[in-house]
Amino acid sequence: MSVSLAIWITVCLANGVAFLATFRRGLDRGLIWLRWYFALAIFGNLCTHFSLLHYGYRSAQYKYAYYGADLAIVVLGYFVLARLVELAFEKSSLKLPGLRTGAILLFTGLAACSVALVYMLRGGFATSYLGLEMEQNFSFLGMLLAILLFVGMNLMQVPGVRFRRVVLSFSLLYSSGAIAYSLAAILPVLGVAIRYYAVPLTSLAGMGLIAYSLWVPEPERQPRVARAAERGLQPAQEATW
Amino acid sequence: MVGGSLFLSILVLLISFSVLAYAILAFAHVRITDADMSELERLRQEGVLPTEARLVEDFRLVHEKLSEIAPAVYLRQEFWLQIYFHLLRLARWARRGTAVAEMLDRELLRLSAYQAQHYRVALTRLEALRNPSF
Repeated sequence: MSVSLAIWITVCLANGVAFLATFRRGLDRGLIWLRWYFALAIFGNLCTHFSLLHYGYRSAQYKYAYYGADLAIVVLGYFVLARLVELAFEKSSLKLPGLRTGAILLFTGLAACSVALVYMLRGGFATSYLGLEMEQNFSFLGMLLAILLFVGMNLMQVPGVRFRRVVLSFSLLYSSGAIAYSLAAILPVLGVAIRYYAVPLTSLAGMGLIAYSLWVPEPERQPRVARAAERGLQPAQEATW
Repeated sequence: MVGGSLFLSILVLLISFSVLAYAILAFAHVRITDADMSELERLRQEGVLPTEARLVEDFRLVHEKLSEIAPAVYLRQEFWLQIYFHLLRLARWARRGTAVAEMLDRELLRLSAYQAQHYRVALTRLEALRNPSF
């Protein structure tokens, strides 16, 4: 068995475990969105692998499958993050009007910029160049969004270890992806090794951490009402966040 | 390459490394950030801790009490908590009188609250052992 096949199988297993974890009882409502994310990740991995087996490494079909699947996962992850932002601050005093519109505009703007840049620099739309550029840009954007969301959750004291861990896992997934694509851009000689080994490994680390975050039970926390009652306060009098 | 610029790509690489390092540390640290602060108050109300809050002594007291019952209820104290506690104390001593000291005080308080949560878990388990419900 080749190393890349072993990595591919491990990534698929991590995705499968994470997918199953989304069926656990008592999961936050927002985290159920991850089910679609992992379903797409598994489907994308299968498509890539079978196109490699059927058409070969140098075929156009494999390139379409490889970049298409990766990009679809990165983009869906970006929208999952936007949804997590909404849910994280749903119960806080912070209001985020136009979040969805903003997220769509940001996404469209970045995609358009990436396409324009590739066309200007390369004079065409080669799949690999377009795929690399868009993945690098979306990984960078996703990384910033995830870390901003985490800092925001800390500032607003939004409770929930699992929720935070999922957000941090996304940050880790995107930052390691951005590192891999940046390295591939700076040192093109490492391009093949990065695509073969580094990118699946970053995926494995990120998905593995999300799976871990979903499986580990959330520490028990007394409900706010019970805590307030214990101290002889009305719930509304309790410290606000 | 970002915008066709090598400089931008290197910048992205450096920022990504910093974010990755931060995400890894924060992932490990998130349990302390999310510690239930009311647990310390509960222990004060129950007389386990003195009514007056003292950062270092409170942590030590909870640690000692936890050491007494943890083995009986199959609870293992996390070793890194002690190291982190001493590191925070050292940093607090080095940065005394500055705004950073306040931040470190808050962190110590969170650490005590996290330890207090463990103590509560141990107490609950001990209670279950003493009065099993069949």
